[in-house]
Amino acid sequence: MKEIVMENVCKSYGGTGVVSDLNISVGSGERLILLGPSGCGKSTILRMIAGLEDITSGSLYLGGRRVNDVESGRRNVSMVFQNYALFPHMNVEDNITYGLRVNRIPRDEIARRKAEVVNMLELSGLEGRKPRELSGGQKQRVALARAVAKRSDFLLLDEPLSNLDAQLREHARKELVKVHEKSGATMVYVTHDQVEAMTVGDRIALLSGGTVQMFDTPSNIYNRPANVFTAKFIGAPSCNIAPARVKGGRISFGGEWFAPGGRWREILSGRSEVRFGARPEHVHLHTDARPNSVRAVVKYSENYGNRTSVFTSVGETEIAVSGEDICFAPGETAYLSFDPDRIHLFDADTEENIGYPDDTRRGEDDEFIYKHNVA
Amino acid sequence: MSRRAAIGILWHAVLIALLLAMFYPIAFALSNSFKSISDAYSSVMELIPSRPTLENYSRVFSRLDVWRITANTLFIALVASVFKVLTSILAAYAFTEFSFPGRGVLYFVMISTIFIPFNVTMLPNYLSITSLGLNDTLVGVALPQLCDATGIFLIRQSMRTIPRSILEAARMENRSSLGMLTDIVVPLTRPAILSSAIIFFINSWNEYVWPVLMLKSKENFTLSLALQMYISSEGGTEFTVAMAVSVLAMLVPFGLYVMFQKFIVSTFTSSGVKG
Repeated sequence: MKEIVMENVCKSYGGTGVVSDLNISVGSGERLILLGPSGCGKSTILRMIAGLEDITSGSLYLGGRRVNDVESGRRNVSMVFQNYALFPHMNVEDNITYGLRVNRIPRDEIARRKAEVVNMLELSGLEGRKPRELSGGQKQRVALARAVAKRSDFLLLDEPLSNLDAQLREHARKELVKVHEKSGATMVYVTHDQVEAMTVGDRIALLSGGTVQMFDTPSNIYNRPANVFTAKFIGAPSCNIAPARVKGGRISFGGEWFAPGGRWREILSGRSEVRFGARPEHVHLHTDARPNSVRAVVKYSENYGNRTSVFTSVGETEIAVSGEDICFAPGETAYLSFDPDRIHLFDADTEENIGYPDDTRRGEDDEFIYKHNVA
Repeated sequence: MSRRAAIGILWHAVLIALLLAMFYPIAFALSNSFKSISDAYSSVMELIPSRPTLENYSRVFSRLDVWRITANTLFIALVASVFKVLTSILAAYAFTEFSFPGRGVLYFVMISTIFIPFNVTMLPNYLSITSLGLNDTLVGVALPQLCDATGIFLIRQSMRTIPRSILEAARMENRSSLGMLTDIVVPLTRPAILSSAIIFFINSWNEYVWPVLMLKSKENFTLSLALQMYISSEGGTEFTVAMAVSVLAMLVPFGLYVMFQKFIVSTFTSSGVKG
């Protein structure tokens, strides 16, 4: 009984809508990621679950209980704040045990839980330090320890790793997943970082402008993006999206034609325009023309060490390609080919996905169903 | 000489002049309190007494019940400063933590009372205290001094610097507002609270006009009133004794300032108020 259910949840400030008609349910013990650009409403949603913001309309259920009017302290939730919100005048131990002391947990139980989280998060030796004497990573672990020691059913995290440097972040991320698995709480995690979202989340709710763009597993979000926004938001370099014309089962962009073949013909029938999408890692670059390849001119490339991204132009359209050992000089002519199983087509007006030849998505089952199924 | 150096010298000259202007009366009182009356008249401006004597102090202690008078002053100053600080903390917290209709207006009205001169409230206060039958009592002196908008202002400025998330973290632990005040807010605003307390204490310690109106019997006198006995027309000839009383009256506030100087300076610099 640790599910979180949001039904038609809306939030507005003096008439300005921040979150509109949110319907999300999170299973017991699941890790949900609220992902999106800044200002998309993800932190507001988290704060509504925490009870730090009122819900304008709709219902929020925590463990089956409607909690719209339940005070924050009585919702059985704990939270890690973005700035950690440690009490500056208390040492690490007092910070961790504050909530337990306030709620009159027996003293030996407090000692037991404290020992457990101190051990779990490698804080031993730091118990007597004040927050200002801790490094960023240590502060983050203390904040997490404080939240975990509470043993609440719901663990909320507001960009908990955003103040750490890149190396530490990777370590802290793994640790966080481990800690969560031990705690068994239902977790909601707010981030704007797609890598965190993909690696930490069981499911991701991708948000933009206060509405859910896609709510699915990381694998489906990556492989089966529901719309152009989702396709572009996840992946680096970002997914190539090109406005394209359609004729006789063939797609044209930048003056070049490409035939995806197979069942794509059925999906494309009756359309004259689409948005064509292909991830840079799913585009192949050749020095000579191949059947069904399109001609491109190399503009520039970026070397990331483990892979290279080459940016080409097909007519007016820019297409990025990335792979391990590709070496092209600017100005060179190259030929691009696309794996028909790994392209994405979106409606030209609504920017919604128009479907795939194999309609089964990879990954776990869930309620998400494409709006535009193939007949 | 560069322009910058010239400006520096000029500033220092001004500051030194100000320092002397403030320091001189204190030095004057201190030195004359150790002179005999005849020496004082012949060499009033000499800062180092040529024949130092404790005669003035012994005269003060023999004629006045100095301990009683000091205790009276201390009582009033403590009651006033403790209550002012308590009421200021509660009001400042309410104005910071809770949002309620009319908060801004109410705060503005409250703060504007700082600008009401004492002369305006003097008479109503006098009549109220008299009708309560508290004339010529220490409680009567302390009663109108139990709250102060300056303290609300100073403490609220300091409370506003506490990040919201810290209070939210406490709220998520099901802590009551009053619990948050004692656990989190007061410890984090301690410098502002302490320095407000000291300012209130010293103000009340030095208070003259209001105790003069209230207190009639000598056993209720405060140090300021005792001092007045020696500088009035009747006792005007004994000005070295008056200086000794002044020095005694200075001791407690001076000691407090030395002890808490760090907090006082940091509060005024951080709140942007010049002390």
